[in-house]
Amino acid sequence: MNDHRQLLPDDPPLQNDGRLNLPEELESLADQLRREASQIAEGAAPRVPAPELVSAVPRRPLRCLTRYVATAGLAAALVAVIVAPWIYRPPVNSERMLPRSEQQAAASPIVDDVSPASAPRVDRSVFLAPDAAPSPLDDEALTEALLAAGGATSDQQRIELLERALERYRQALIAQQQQIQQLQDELRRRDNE
Amino acid sequence: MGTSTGWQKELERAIREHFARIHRAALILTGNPWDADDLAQETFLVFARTLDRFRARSSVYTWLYGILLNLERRERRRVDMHRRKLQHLRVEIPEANSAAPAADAPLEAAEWRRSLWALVARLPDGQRLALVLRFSEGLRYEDIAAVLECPVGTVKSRVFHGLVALRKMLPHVPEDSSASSAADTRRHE
Repeated sequence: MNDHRQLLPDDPPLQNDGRLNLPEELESLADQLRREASQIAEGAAPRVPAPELVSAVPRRPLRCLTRYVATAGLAAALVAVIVAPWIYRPPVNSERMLPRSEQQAAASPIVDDVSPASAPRVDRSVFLAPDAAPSPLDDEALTEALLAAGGATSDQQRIELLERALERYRQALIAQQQQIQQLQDELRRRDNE
Repeated sequence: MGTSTGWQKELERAIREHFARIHRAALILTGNPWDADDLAQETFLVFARTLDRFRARSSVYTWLYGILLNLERRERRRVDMHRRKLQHLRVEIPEANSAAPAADAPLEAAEWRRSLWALVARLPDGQRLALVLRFSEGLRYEDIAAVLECPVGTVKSRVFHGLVALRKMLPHVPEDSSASSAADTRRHE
């Protein structure tokens, strides 16, 4: 029996102009594919006619509106997440500034009440100095300096303003360190007494 | 396509002019009218969503064929993966084997199952899609190349090798018999 499948070429038989020249056997196969495709298509019409399909597709304005609302909601949530920590600041606990012995005393005031006369006399005001007298290092001064720098008309002016603000802060820091040193000296002196 | 009305008219026109041919291609690809309906409708839904991106770089119908083939390949992969998982389960649970057809067995139209297109469905994707677009849809090689996004020479090669592979799937028959009867004989065996 002659196996004619072996006679088929390995490469597509192209003509000089590039057209595909199918062997007769493959051409008849192609014809059969065409015929059978037509028969299958004739036997099964689409269940959903075209006009109904058009109504099933959502209109573009509605889709756009939905998309805009979703995007705006997402953006608002994102902004809220970023801005929230700046808006909400937990109140500063002034007790954190107190020494441990003072914190214990504040937690159990009965100890002071038992023998007020024998208890060492401590001038509490010296420990509350940072809260009682606002230092130049507070946020308000910092904000003012930054605003002034932001309102500058030129880079040179901005640099000068910032340098001036930095110098002020440096001096304030030195003053505060000196104040702390004085307080520590005072404490040491009282302990010796 | 800038306004809503223009968009809607464009969509309506595309559906009116091309729905039948897209449905026909979907039918040849899937082998059953139910899947073909779903696939054709999904093609136009995707088309409606991507209409803004269609800048007339190609014809509307080549764009539609591109969407259809992508959706069909995706669905085919999904079904194949699902079937492999089920086969794995059947191997592990021998009692699940039975003579009745599996629940996931594809529902195919009898006419399609008896045709050569059922054999075409077993070919590799490139050859299968080239044969469908060429001999079912009657597209020119240049259009097929635009749909499949490959050179025209590649399309011709795929068509040729697809036909050769299809011929090899058929049993050897005497010269005077038609390929159709050979296919029928094979399937009735």
